[in-house]
Amino acid sequence: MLNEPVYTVSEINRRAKEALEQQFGSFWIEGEISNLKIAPSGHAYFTLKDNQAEISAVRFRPRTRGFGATSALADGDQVLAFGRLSIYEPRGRYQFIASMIQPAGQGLLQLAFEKLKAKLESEGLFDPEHKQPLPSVPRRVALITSATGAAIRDIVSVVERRFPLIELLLFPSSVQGEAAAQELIDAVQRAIRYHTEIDPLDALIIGRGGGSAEDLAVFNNEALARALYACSIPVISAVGHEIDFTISDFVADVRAPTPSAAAELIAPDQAELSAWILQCSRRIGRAATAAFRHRWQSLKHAVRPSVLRLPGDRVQLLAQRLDLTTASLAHRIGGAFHLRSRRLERFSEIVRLSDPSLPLRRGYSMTYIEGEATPLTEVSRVPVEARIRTVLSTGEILSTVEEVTRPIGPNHGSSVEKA
Amino acid sequence: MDQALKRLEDIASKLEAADLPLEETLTLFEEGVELAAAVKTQLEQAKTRIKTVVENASGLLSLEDFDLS
Repeated sequence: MLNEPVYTVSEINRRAKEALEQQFGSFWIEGEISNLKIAPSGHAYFTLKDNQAEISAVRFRPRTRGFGATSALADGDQVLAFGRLSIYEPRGRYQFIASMIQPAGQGLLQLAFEKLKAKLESEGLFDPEHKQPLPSVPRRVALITSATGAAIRDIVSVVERRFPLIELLLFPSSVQGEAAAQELIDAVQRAIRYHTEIDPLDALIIGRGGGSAEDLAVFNNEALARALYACSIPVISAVGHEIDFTISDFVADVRAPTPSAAAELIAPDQAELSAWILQCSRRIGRAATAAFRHRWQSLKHAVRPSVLRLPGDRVQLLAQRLDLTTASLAHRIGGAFHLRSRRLERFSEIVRLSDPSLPLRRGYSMTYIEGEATPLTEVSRVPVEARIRTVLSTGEILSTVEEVTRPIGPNHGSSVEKA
Repeated sequence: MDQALKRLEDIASKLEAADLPLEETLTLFEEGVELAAAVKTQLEQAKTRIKTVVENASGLLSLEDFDLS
């Protein structure tokens, strides 16, 4: 006993303090506030207690405003406090130093949220494979929200600006309070009935504008989550602001940070779409031009034996249709399609060039057996002494065949028939 | 609308891919031009429609006009 250390009071208080602080670190403690006294310095002294025990506690005046600890305290409050254990050395008083205090209810809400989230996640309700894709250009979209809230206004104004072709169908429901969860579920079921019985719905937006954690709590309802999971229409959840996450957000096919953002997800930008249409039209124009050019190339080769494959009136017809199309195109679509109409004029030109009379002007001619309407393409059809008609650009020559030379094969010379 | 856009894309791909007869090329081309014009007009003239879906006591769904103001 004589070997045991001798401490001064100051020493033992300091060492006990160090031991307590090391042993426990920071933690949460739940209890009821009593004996609350706010000192002129702004520090709050109180007792935290449960059924069997109590502990002295202090919350020093918050250095910064707006961070957790600023909430007003009152005797009788059930709170969840975060802090550490310590000893006030001058008095040897053991106490809890709180750095953050929140109503216990809120903390429990958070706990319940995490529990439900983990449960539904393990059941597969958030699985990416179950997510349905949103349609690129929806025609009819269901909205489940309050008829008088901010969300509906935001959504309508975004859709109006971006893509007014969408038909919006509101399935009204309250979005906070005790009855809200059931009303929301009923609205989802009504939307599914509408989808299967009346007109197909391409997407469903469910949500509300910003509010307190309690206001948004209905979107953490388990039955609602299951209804959304079972919904065959692609669901977009849009609850509160960017920072608010709810169970609905996790179970929906897509989470939008706000109602406006949800509207942007379903409504393609009109300007983008116009650009896309223009691009498609250009592809069509380009492909058609290429087809005509190709045709013209083969036509040019076919001109060698002086016979054209396209009868004149057909070419005329095609050229005329092309002209008509060009005109209606320019008329209807105006400036944006200017470039393309110029291209079209070029096809018309190409088709005109393939008019058989043009090669005739260049010195080629067409030959017919007298009385026939189809130009000759093969000598085999021409007997010696037949009367043939040769058409030039400025007139016709009538002659009698004296000799027909016919190639037998590429390297075998030719056979000659004479009168 | 979605269908018209798909058809437009379809026409463009067909014209690009195949060596079609001249007549068919023209027909497709004309259809494409008409479709593009129609879709563009539709876009320009559209106005957002919004209705409320209500359910009566016997469970019948019907549409009512919705007024934002």
